[in-house]
Amino acid sequence: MRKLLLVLTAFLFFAGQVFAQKTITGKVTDDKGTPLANVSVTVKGTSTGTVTKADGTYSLTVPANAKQLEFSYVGLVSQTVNITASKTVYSLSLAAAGTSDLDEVVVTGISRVKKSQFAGAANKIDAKEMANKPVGSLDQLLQGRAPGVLALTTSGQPGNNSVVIIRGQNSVVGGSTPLYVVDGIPVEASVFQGYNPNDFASIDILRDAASLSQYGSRGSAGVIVVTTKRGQSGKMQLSYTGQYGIKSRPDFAFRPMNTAEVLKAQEDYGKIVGGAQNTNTVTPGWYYSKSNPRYIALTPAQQAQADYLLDSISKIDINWSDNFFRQGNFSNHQVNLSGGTGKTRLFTSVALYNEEGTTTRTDMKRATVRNNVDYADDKLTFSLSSNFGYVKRNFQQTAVTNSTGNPFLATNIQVPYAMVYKPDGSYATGVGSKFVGANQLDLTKYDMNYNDQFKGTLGINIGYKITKDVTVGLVAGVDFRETQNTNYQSREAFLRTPAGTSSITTLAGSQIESMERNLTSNIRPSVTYRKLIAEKHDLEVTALGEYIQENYKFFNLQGYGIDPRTPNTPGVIQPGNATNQLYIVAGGNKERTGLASGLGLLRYTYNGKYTVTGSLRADGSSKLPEENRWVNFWSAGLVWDASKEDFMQNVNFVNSLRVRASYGGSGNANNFPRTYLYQATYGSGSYSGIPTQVATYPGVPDAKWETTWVTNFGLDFELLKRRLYGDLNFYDKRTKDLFLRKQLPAEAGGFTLDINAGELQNKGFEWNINGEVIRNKNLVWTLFTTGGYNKNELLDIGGQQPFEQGTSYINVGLPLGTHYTVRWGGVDAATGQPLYYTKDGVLTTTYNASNNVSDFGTWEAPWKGGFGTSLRYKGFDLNILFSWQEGAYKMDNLEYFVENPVGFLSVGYNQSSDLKFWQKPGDIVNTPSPLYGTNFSSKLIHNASFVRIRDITLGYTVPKSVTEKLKFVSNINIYVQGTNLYMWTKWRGMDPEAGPVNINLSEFPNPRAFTGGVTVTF
Amino acid sequence: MQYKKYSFYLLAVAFLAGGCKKQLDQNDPESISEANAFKTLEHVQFGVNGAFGRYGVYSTDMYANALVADEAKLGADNAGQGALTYRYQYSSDGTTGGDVTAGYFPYYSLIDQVNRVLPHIYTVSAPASDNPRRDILKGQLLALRAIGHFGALQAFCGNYNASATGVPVMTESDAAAKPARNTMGAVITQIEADLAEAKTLLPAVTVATFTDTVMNRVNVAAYQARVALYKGDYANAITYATEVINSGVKPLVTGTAFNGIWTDANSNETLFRIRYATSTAIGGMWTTTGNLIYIAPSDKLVASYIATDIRRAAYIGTTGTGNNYVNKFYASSRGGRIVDMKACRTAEMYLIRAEANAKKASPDLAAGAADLNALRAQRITGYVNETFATALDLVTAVLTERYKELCFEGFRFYDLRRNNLPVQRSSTDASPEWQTLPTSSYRFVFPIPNAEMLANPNMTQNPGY
Repeated sequence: MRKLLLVLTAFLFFAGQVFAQKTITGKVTDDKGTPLANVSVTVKGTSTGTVTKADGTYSLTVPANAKQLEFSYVGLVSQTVNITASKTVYSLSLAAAGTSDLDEVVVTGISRVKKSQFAGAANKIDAKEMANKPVGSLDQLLQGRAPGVLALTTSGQPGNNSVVIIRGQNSVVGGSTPLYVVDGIPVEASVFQGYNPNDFASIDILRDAASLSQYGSRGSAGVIVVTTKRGQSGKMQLSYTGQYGIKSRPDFAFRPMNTAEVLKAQEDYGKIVGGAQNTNTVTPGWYYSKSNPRYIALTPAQQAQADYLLDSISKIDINWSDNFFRQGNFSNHQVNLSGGTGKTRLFTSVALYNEEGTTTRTDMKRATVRNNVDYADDKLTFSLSSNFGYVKRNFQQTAVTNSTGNPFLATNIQVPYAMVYKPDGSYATGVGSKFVGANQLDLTKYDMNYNDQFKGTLGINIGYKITKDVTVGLVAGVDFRETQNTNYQSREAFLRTPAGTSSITTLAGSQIESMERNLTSNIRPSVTYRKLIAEKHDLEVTALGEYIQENYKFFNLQGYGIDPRTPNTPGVIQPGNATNQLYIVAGGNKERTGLASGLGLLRYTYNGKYTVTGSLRADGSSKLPEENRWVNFWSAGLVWDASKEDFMQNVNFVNSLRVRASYGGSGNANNFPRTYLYQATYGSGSYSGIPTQVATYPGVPDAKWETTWVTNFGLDFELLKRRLYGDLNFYDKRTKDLFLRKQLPAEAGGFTLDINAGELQNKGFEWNINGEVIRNKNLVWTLFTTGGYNKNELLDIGGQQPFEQGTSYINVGLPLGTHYTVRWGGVDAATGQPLYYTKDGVLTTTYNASNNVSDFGTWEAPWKGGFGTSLRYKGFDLNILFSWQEGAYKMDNLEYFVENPVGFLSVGYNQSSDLKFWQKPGDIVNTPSPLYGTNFSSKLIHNASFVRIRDITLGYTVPKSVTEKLKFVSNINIYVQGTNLYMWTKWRGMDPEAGPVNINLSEFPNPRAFTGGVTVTF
Repeated sequence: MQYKKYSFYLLAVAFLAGGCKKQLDQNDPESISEANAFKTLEHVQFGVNGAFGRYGVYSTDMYANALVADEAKLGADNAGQGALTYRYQYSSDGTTGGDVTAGYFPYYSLIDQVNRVLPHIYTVSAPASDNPRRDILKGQLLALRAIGHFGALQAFCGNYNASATGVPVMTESDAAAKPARNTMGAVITQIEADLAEAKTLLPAVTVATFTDTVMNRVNVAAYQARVALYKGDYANAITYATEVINSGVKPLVTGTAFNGIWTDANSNETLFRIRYATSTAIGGMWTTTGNLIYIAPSDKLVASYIATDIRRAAYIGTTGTGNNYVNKFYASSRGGRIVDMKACRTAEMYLIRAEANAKKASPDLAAGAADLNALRAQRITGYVNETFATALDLVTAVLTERYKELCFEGFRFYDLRRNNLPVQRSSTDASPEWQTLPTSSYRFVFPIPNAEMLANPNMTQNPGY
């Protein structure tokens, strides 16, 4: 903080000077001569500016020393003109965009930087790409749209968030969730249901040190900056958008057996195993089989009876997936108001979103209201951004578990010859494997699991010009979320009746209510000095201070004895006593953390060709011990605009060429493995109702910051009359003092500590290349590709022991997420025994975990990206986006169940139609003889790479000649859209994206959607 | 004018800077800091309570013993639970070896908890009238530490041999500890010393004052008998078992009084128990509370009971569809499936004394037969006393009786190993591949978990894994 004070004080002694002013006027049109409203006209390098009126004209008072005027408009190429002393009228036309990103602005959330002076690596997703997508969470928009970003949507539950990883995982135990900033206010990550992506003007994705170091202690996992739409000057414009669509279950490569197949498999199994299986009725394919020794011993009448029963069973063939999934739907209605008079502009949107998921009971309803107000005069700028969202979501019962309580798994392993309904219309429930599907449908019917979320984000941004060169600013905001979760567990459901359970609390039915509240507040004062000296030296220096506080509280209560006549309310919870044993369970936790920072930023541009940037930052986090609490980060960047050099002036095929380099550090304050990392603690508990006190964590007294240092080289180019443009980036990212999990020996207490040790590297490159194949007045055809390669490698684990984390192995030389298991050696064709490889590559029939090896890749795809095309012909607009990942490997836990005669077929569960187990010598198959079990091995690890058609949108703008006749309408746009239409993958599970990133646990697959909509501007 | 503005701004920044220090000092609101952990004797008592709670780890012995021996088979609704263990495919990793390695960390957590509390017993402030309580608390902790070491020794070491590799002995809490394995002799010496000292610190109990929920002189003696039998110290096994039996606190019972043991309707025969007030950890161990039979009694066990044996019905239940399930630790008089873990019972004392009498240098077949007959008389309606011609006959009969009496209580596998017998399952219980575990198999000693091997460079793995 002291550093900051010094910097601030230094700036305050720059005295202001008063200059003479003059007024400039003019008119802006498009390339066809049509007047353009709302074009931003600014004095270059200052915040002095205005916008054009409806007739394209403008009037602006500028300082006498103003050098250049800049004209910009979303979707059009910006232009800069020199101001000459004699001239006061400047009229021009702006060309259609899509042809250049030359003067694009990069919004870093803290500052707005012209791309030509930006040393970092950042890419922008603009409103057009995000508009009207049928998703409930903004992070679902990222896949395939920005280089270097891995975005996997792990569930088809409406509104589910995505796992987003920018430039590779950069922490072993700390997590790699990026920082999200909305209109300058840091917001809670991964809870985005309360935002309406149609309100967004752009999303900037920041990936390198020059941009991340502004976020110092929070930016090391990348920053995703959302900028929302602002009011456009001019008369208030009203528009309405309506969308409707359907959502359906996607096709899976995996198919469960039908009745004929599973009965045959049961018979084959029984023939080999015999014994107790001969009399086991859960495998009717064998129990009633003529080959079963039991059958021969039966009387002719009993044999006839057995034949009859088997015949009856074989005629039932239920597709359980059809009974479980349904067709979902989606609708969205939105009204926007945008406009401004004088110095004030306003943007308001109100939207209602409604999605019904592809399984019964899953849905999401959302209402959002956004109000953005902007004010600007020649000294003061002020903007207020506010969003309020209310979201209600209904969920399936437990998913993502390896138990028959997961309805998605139950659907896959339910035998097809069991009925769904009893004759009375209720679900055919019961105890045992045959009933897992119906039991889950029954639970879905009776139970309720939903949450109500309120989210409010409010931010202000004030700037005041003290002198011509010095601006002071203040950004302050809060992000508030409250979520109430309710889970009603009805005692009418079969699994809560005496036939289904003997647990007293389960039998009573229960109501679980929880309340979660998250409040992030921040305040960020700043002072900026900016000066153009001798027309060549453009200098900008900023000092900022920042304080962020996060408060979190969670409260949870489970009460029992809910009478089904008064369902779903905590009001009827029965008080617990020694007789009924229905004690109410209550719990919760709360946390508070603080983060204080001081930051200095510097940029110097010489003659528009060379730019140097630098930053220096100090951060202190409450999560660390006092002696290690503060850390310093710095960064430096260079930009060389080669195309402005004299020698390039004759190189005609190059329109623009910029070379960038940056290096710098950032930290991970949001991703500490524990909030109170360094404190040794004891916790209170209970042993059979009497209080206990046990050590809960020994603490790591020397805990410190995990820091990430990134080197980035970049190239921005526009070639061949801007027919080919884009950017390339190469980077090397090192995370030091890595948080690693250190397992203490059992004898030392057996705790798991999070210590600082080791180093992790991510290096790779990213591309974003666009080519305009055809560009003429009526037709524009663009091809684009974006993507990245990332090599993740643990360089050092600081002398710690390698350890297993989930399915992966943490060791030097390996990427994070590396699978670690015994190598599968196939099935011995002679005996049907499973074969495994030892560490030394010798085949053995003995499974031994000491033979685990790490040769099976990682779940984090090194290659990922998107590609597509857009075609604009007159009023028509076609956009196609493919997204892909390559080189990802995932463990298929479902395969362990559905290609497992011993553990699953034999006890009456269904199997995959791919199951082929060994039956006689000479069989070349991949599943052992049922006499042998299978273990987890590399057999289950499969390629989870995919290419999917993420979006196809066909839009049509009704010609002006038509809309002009409709006096009350100025613009009509209609479109149809398909999402997740098709996927190419070798993965045999349900959805390679769904579920935990490393292992398939039968999770809600991402749906396919067809939507259509209309936007009418009045 | 301008300077006024600046100084206001400066003030604001200074104010912010001053506030930082305070804002950045945040403590975990839900945890007790180490400095505040032990202030009064009450806190020590909480620590001791925590140590008792951690003896719940004994359930891992119950579960693993059943799966790898011949008292259980995979139940009708089993979908892989314990299957790898049952098929002798376990290794030191968490996936395959989860069941057999499960005890290692919890046993040492129990020991660590004891060692964390012990130093505070005589240093915390308390009124002088509380001083006797300090001794009692120490006695209980020492007894629990001995039980913890013994649990680890039984599971992760073979039969007793003083110079063979044991497990590490831990007598103080040390987060930096990376101990090597002590010899079995050293471990047993520490166990014996802790139990002996505990006995001197704990008060004498009578039938009226005995309680089976905390350690006291009688149940400490019961553990001494168990340890002595394992060690092959038959004279002491007889002495300690006799001490328990003669104390008269928990005589053998029969009929409904016996059935009531298993539903917690009474506390007959129970010398030490781990209580579960609301948890179905024990009641749901073999058969889920959703009535799915994951682990069932073996056909071999079911067939071992003659019709007049009251244990058949007390231990084995049968569903409407004819599937057997483990009825021991199943139903509860408190409702549902909330039952306590019976960790030590009087019947075991009779069987220890009988076996020790048969095995001691000069066997006392009459005394051994008397104990065996005394137990059987309580269990079998119309039982007629049996006599034994040889010590081997008596040992065999005692082992069979232990099989029938103590099934699912965590003994069978260790009993077979202690007597150098193979596991021999019946053909209806298991496929040929996993019907037998020969005495030569390394699997008779469970593997040290991988996590420990990785964390402790001085740890050595058991042979074969």
